[in-house]
Amino acid sequence: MRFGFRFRIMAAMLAVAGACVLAVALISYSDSKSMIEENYVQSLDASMTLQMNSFDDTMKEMYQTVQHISTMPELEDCIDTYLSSDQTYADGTEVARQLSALLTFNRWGSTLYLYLPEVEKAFSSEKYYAARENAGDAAVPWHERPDNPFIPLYFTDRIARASQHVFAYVEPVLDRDGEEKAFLCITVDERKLYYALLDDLNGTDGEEYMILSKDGMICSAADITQLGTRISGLSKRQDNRMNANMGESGLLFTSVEAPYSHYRMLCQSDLRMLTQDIREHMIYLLLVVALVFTGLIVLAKILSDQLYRPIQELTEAMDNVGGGDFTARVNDRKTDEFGVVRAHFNEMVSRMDNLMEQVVQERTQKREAEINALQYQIRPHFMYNTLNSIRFAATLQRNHKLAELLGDFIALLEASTQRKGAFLPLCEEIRLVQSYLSLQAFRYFDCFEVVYSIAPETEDCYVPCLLLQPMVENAVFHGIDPKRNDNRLEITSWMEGERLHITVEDNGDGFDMEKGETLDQEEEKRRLTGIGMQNVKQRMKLYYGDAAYFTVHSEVGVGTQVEFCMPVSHDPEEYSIRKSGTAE
Amino acid sequence: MKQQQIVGAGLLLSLLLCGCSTIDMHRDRPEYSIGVVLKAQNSPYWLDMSSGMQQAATDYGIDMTLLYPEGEQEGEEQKSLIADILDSDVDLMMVAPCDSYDTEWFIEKAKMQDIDVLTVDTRAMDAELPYIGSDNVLFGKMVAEYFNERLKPGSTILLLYGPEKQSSIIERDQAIREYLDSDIHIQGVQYTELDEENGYLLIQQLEQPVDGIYCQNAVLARGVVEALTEKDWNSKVISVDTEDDAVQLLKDGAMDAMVIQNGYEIGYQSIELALETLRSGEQPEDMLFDGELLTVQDTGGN
Repeated sequence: MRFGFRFRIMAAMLAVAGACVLAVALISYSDSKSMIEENYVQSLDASMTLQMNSFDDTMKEMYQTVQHISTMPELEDCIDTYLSSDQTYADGTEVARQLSALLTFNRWGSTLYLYLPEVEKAFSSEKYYAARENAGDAAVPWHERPDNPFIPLYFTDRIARASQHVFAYVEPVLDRDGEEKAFLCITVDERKLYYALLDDLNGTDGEEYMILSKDGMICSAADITQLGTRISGLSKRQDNRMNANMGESGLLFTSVEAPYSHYRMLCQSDLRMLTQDIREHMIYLLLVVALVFTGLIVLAKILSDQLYRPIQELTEAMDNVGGGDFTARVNDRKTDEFGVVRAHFNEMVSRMDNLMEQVVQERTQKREAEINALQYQIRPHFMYNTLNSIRFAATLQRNHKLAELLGDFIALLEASTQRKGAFLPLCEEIRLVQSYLSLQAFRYFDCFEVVYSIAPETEDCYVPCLLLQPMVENAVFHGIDPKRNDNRLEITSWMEGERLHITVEDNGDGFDMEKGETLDQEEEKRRLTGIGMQNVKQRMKLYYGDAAYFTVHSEVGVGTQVEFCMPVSHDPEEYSIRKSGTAE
Repeated sequence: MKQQQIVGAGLLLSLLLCGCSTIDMHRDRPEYSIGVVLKAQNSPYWLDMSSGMQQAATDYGIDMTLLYPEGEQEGEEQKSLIADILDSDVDLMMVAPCDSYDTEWFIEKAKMQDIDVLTVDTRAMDAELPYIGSDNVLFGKMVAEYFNERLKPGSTILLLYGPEKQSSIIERDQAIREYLDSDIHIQGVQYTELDEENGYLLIQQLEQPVDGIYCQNAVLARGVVEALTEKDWNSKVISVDTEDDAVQLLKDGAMDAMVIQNGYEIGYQSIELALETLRSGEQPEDMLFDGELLTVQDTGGN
């Protein structure tokens, strides 16, 4: 799972991109398809409405023509003339000729028929079969009246030379008393109507047009065997001005009603033909999507590699650091967000490195100090016992001065070896210094004066054991000139807020501060006290860290002043190493 | 849940790709159907009126069946058309009756079938029906005032009308007689079919010239002017018709003046009024249209 995160990011990116592309493609396909279908239906509606208006105009014209002719006096004359004649064949053809003359409407094989029920004869404006005997309802439904007088009749015309389907209006001719004395019928031929209105439309692939009567019978279609039958496969009603819905056969049925004649034009369309182009386009689009997707995978790989590289470097560096190699660093090349992370990481590792080094060093020093302390504890006990024996011998021999000196020395030794704690009150430290100076006064024949200026409030303050003694020792060794009798040592302590100040000052020869190390180095060489200035410095650092310091100020011919400054403490354990060790 | 989503998305995808359609669209029949029976279609005025009606029917989305007999004299034919309109499924019928005194029968029939009836161009004189059309009294007055202004006292005029049983003619005739100066004499009144030939023949038959001739429409006036030119008589001819036709006729010098009626506007507004009647269910007030007198001088003709 090394590349788990990478692959998840890549997969997420690709999934989002892929989903977007796919969604856009599908929505666009679906929208386009709906739009095309909707536009198609609207365009069908428009073109079929146009054709049906033309159908209506013709029907209206037929209706008005037959209405007009039926009231013409010429027709009445013609009928009267025939009825009063011998009704010979020639008389019949004369009626036909007059009908032809009256018929001004001439379209789609229009024909005018006149039926005289009195003599059961029918006449036609056509020259062929101009007059026919016994032409009752068998030929034309003369007495049929539709609900709406503007709806044309549709029937098979048997008067004509060949049976043909016709659209017709029948109008009774009334005499002066309002009686029906004749019937007029005007027809147009279905075939001619078909070729005028439907044939061009039927030339389109996947579409079939026809005209239906109000009750759904096929009245005009390309295939004449369909005439008079009903359309199959219609699943829903076609009873609005325009209806478009899918039939059971999966074909789209669109029909438009003619407002005047109430006939409908129906179109059956195969929508697959219509949407074939867009389906092909969709397949092409999906191929493009697949290609783009492949491209995206490559691009995502390259981009994720680039994004992953800094993370990888960081991960490796962290692994190394975790393994303990604090020298591991990340190369810092760019200044982007990763650059900031790298910089912070490097800095953090550097700090950790320093801290670790410091900890190791402190632990080493502490251990050394503990070993030294143990050694100190053994040696003085041996010397302490011996010296007590000598002091006892001196007392026996009534050498009280020697016994006093030895007493001071033992006290000093006792203080330095009796390590109940590393800290002691300043007053006790001063007493140690006094013991020490009492010994040194004996040695230097009381050639120096010691002045103690110890502020009372500082006496209870805890200070590290044997802090002043090495400094006083230095002052005695370097500051006192036995040839002079004005040698002076001054030990002062005071408090400033929460800080304790202690100075040890002499009026000896002093030294050049520019060669500041000389004092310490010489002392180290001589090893007179065993506890040098370096020791004090280290102990101060160990106990107080940066919270305490001591300074040495010396001037040649004037003297030397050593000043300690440390936090005021009334608890012997407050700064002890043991305590800080426990705390750690 | 996740599986269901995946299955759902898959189904949708396959549905989209297999191209299944669920088209179900329709366009309703118009809310109203109006039947119109005019008097004729043989003059620019009637053609304009039909255009106005057709346009309004298209604009307001209503079905309109417009029928007319061969000519204004074909009263019988018009009756048959009116009867058929009432037998069809119209909500309102608008009629310009060829015979203003023979309307009761269809008003009765319409009432039985709950069909509203309005008259357009010509009133019903034997019944109360809302009327939409020219203010014929005003037109008659304008004609009379034209003669008063242009003819000297003692002049004679001839009035040529269409079929005499029409309110438009009766109203104009009454107004002309009312407003005509008493020193101008009406030499004769003739009712005729409104075509050029009849106008020509009527003038040809005159033995004495007249000073002024009123013609019912411009078509009739054309024949009249033709005969006047042949006879070289200088009579003032005034007629009533639509603007487009009038301007050209005046420019050609065929006539001296015309009262213009806007057939298109009458047609358009009559359909609007019919629609308002159907929507409100209340009988509307009469809607009268003004005319404008246009003379040869106005058009810059001869």
